[in-house]
Amino acid sequence: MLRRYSSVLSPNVPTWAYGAFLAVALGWVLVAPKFWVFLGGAACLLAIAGLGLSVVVGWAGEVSLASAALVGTSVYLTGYIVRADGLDLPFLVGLGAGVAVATVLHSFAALATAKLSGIYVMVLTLGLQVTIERTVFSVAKLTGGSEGVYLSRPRLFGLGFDSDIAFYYLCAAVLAVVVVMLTLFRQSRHGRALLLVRTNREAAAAVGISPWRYKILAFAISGALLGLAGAMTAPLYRSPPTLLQYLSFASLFLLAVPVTAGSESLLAVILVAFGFTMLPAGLEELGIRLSPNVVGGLGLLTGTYIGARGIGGAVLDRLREKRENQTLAQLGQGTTVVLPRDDAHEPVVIDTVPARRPRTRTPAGAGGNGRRSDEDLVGVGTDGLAPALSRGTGLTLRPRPPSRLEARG
Amino acid sequence: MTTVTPTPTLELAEGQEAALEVFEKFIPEQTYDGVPLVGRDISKAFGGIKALREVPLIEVPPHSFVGLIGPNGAGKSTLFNVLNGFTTPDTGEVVLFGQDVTRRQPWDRAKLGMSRTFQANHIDLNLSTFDNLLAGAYQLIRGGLFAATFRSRGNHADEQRARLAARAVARLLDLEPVLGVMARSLDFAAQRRIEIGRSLMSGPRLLLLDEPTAGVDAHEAKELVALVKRMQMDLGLAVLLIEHYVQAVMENSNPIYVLDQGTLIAAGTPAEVANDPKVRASYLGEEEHHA
Repeated sequence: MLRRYSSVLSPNVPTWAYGAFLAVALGWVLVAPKFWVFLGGAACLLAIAGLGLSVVVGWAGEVSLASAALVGTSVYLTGYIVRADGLDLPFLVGLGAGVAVATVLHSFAALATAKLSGIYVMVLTLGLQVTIERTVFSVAKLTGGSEGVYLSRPRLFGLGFDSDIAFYYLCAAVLAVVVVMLTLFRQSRHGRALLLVRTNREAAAAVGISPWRYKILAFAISGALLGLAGAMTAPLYRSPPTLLQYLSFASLFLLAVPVTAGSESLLAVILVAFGFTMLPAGLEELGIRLSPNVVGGLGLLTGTYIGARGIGGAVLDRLREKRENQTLAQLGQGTTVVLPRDDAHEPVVIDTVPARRPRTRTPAGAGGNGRRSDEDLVGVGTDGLAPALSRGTGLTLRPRPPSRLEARG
Repeated sequence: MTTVTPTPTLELAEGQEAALEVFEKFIPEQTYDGVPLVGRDISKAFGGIKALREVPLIEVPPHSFVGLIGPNGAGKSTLFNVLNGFTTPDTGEVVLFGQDVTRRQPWDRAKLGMSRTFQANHIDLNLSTFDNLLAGAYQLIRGGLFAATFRSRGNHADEQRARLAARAVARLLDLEPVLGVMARSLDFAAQRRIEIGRSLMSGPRLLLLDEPTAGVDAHEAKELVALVKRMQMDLGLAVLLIEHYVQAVMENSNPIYVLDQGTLIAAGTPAEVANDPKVRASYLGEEEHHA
């Protein structure tokens, strides 16, 4: 049974590395000052929001600018449902409501732009952000207005999470569950379908995938995670942050997390979220004041410069290259080992497949877009053909025995 | 953490025949014994430009390798898009496996057993060959959102079958050595084969190939068409091929349809088409001689 889930762990990462990571993630709060533990909880929640946005930005190839409004809506709605002067209901009810509302709102944005993409989605989600700012955030009953509200941290399943350490563990556990679920989703047929829709909608449609459906699904998952982050933010701060924290500019800050980290690695999203949360505080202790927004802006610039694969993709590429180069050195030039990403097949040693091979195409004017000359097109002859394209993959088609029909005569 | 080891059920026996058997078991059986694809009286205009002018009849018989040729701007890709569902025709109808699909979406047509490739490669360059192939198996793997995410028994079994089939397709397309290689590390011809392989992984009984040899050299083009032809024969597929490489079409296709300026100017066997004065005029600039 557990074997079905073994693909969550990368075969390229040794077991001890996972153990060490777990030990550090759980142990550092035992020795860290209280303020840093609190920041750790905030970083976990930023990571959950970042992962949510990563589904839309990295996996669906769209940009949502409504993220801060969705987080804020969930913060205030959960707070209102849970707090004593609100509905005074259990935390899980508030959390469920926050997640549900954010999911529905984000899905609605996707529905409205189902056949569109790019700039239209950005504008519509920005419109959703502004609409929420002017409607939901103006309800003093929800936000507490200028007075502010107090919220106690929850007790769940008989466990109290009042201390910062306990709440950090709760946030870290939720983050771990989110990472596992997203990894499993990404490896499922639905995750592959989402990536194919991002690559090309028509190609996805040609193999039976509805691009509209998957776009809406991406926004729904993203909305759910943004709502989850918001619902847990309410008790983290005990007194939910002011609505200034959830205005349009905050959406750009949230967007910076997946843009900086890239779409390749969920771990990179978590590390970037921790960096964005901890770096300004760390620098402040050194006497350097740096606004988190500046960090976010630098992240956006970095992510844009690196490209869609972000820092995570760049690092993974280096590691992959390093691994293959080491193998090349051992086996000799012109040989490399193909390291599969799943358990379907064993590593294969093949010839002449360099890790990075420049691809050349037929130059313009020498066959035009790789097409053959007119003479060749009509089958008169093969003289004057465009120069052959670079091959060198060792993938030349092999001669085959007669087909079944031919064999039958 | 458990060490990841190959699953015994995923072992693929040696040879092309084993790969074919695995793949045949993976794709659904086609019980329809009529003409898989029929297009009738199809017209399509984009503003003032008439891309297709009442193309009277396009038929792709079962287990056939049908060619569709014509000079640039003839309307071949528009016709493909109409047949595939990306473009809705102004007039006419498209019948797929006996069902009128003229107004149905491309993904609904794929569910009936149609798939297609494109002139440009639409593969994810940042995924491995294997992952690209597996993406095509979407509709042959059971499981809704939760069943697939949490690996229900049925979903897990289908995933295993799809993985084995992906390996089989890779073998048939000579991509097996690079299953784990990122697609961007491969050359254009190999990427073309990945795209064809992904279409095959969707389990089609009717495959539309839009210039599969575009961008590859003549040698590879010839081999690629021969390979597709071979797979069509082995798997009993019906194939409709658009190709600028006319020699390959003439050698492998029957019947052949010829479009020019949105009009069907000829249809028939390779010999009939090659000797058709309109076709010769269209391709070679020869003047039509009327008896």
